[in-house]
Amino acid sequence: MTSLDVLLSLRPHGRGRHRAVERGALAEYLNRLRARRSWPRRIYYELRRAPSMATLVGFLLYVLLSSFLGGVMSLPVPGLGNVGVLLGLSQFIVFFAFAAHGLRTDCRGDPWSGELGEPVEPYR
Amino acid sequence: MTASNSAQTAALIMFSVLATLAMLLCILTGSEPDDLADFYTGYRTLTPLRNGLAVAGDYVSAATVLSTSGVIALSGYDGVVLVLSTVLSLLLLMRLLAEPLRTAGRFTMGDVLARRMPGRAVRGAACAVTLAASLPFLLVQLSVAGSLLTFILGISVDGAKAACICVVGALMIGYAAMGGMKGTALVQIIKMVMLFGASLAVTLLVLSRFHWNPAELLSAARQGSGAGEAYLRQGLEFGSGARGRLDFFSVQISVVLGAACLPHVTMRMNGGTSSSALRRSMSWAVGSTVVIAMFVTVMGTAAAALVGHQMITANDPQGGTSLLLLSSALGMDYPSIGEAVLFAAIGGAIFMTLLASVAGLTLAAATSVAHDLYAGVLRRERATERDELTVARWTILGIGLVAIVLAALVRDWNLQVLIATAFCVGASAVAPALVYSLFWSGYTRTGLLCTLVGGTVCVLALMTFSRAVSGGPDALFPHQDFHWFPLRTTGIVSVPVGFLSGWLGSRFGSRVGWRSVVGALRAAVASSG
Repeated sequence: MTSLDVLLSLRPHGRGRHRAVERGALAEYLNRLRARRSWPRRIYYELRRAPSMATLVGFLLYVLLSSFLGGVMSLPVPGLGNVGVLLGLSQFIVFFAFAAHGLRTDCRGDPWSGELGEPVEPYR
Repeated sequence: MTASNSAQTAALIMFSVLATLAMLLCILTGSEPDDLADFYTGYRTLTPLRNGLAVAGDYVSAATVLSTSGVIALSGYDGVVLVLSTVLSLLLLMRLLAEPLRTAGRFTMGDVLARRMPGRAVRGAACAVTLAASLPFLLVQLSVAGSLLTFILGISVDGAKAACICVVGALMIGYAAMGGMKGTALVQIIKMVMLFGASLAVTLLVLSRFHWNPAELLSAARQGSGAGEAYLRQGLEFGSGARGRLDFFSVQISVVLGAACLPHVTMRMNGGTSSSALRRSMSWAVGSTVVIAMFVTVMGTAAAALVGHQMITANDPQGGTSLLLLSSALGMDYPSIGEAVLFAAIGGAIFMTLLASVAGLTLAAATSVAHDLYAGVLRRERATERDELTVARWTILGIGLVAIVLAALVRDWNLQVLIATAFCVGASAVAPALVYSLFWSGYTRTGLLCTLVGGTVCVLALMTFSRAVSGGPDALFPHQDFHWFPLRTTGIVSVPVGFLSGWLGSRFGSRVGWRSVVGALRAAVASSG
């Protein structure tokens, strides 16, 4: 136990609490991240924890594919034009599913956003 | 192609009824002369559904509906990606920023930023950035209002556009000054209901026309657009070369990060009764925006199929009138009364969209001037509520009049560059400042000022010398060429600059010292003089 931990146990709401909590959370997070050795697994792990960031990454990939792999996106799909149109329309469904999920479960957004920094204090 | 006399009369009656109804609502819900919280947030009394519709109403502007449907009609695939990025932006706001914004904020974006770093410089910079993001957008909306009203009413007299801008501007000032946040929220709700109903009717008519078969609709759109297979590929709007691809990516970055971070949208986060209610509100907002976006996609594609590229560009080279042309084309199937009803419904929905958009933007800009600049900077937070509210109402009048005069003066210019400027300021200055100040404990006052000033100056400087301002037939000044920045939006450069300047300012700002930087700049200017 370090001197900081002793101080924190004496004054649990005192100055530096957020910083110590953050440091602890960061160490735990880094340990979990190190456990996943390969980059693809790390990226998959990160995106699974943050579905909206996964949606953003998916959309940016879609934009890049549309720009640089136009041939693949132009492959015909019966009834819906091509692969690009199909992927675009399916994103509408994903976005709507997010909204419906939020309404049904009253979810608190991405846990990722909560872990980014100290909790926001109410406006005084 | 213009609408018949009966359709124009029906549209005029619809406009008068809607404008009167909205004004009545604003007067009835108006706040007391010394009740600041009521004027700025409506005491957070809206239910989640109503607040969600108000958020969506503020978010889905006239530019979103009209410009995007025009881009889909003329460019197909590029327009669909633009719609997707618009919806994704609100989704990211809902999942990442909405709740912290409500917790940290009170009335304006300046409140959120000044929570951890209070001071006059922060308040002043927040107000400047709010104006830099809101005013260009307001100008575009007013200009579009003038063009559309003259088109809907079939007036081609010189000066009619300016007169329409003045009428819409006067209504906008009235709604914002009398109704405050609650009144404009009700106008947004009416707008969303009307837009939803009219779009649903047109979408159903379109799909029945093509036997409920999307492939038939896409095939007709390919033929009507005149582009063939290219209509369903990236490249018609931005080009398919290296520069076009970069431009395409830059636009998407700017819209995804900037659209939902515009101050008039983030200000609506203060309207939730609780965090839980805000989460439900945002779900309603995203859901309704997705539905409207899908309707816009179908309607834009149908405009290409039924109206055709030639007819659309003959009326407006940017395709802003494509929805109205589509409603006229569909109404021809029901010549007795169908055309008049459909045209009036779509015209009414667009009219309400315009009114609600400009009222929301004016309110956000005026609130920032009154709360951040007047109360925070000039009166050092010692102004009374009555004084601040009086200043807010006079500011609405002032901003409204300036916007009306400017929009009337530049009514015949291509103002698409201003939409891009607003989104880029949102993505390059507002988004980094909000993300850093809400989530990074190492963010400092110098970092915040660097983000706000660096991001905004980068956008304005690059945009001035971009292809959107000069050097092309669709530029703001088509007959001049002083561009050296090869793209039409700055997001791909200015977003990293905004984030980087915030990081650098926070890391090294305290060592260098803000005052010493200003002193060094002053010395450099003095020595050069």
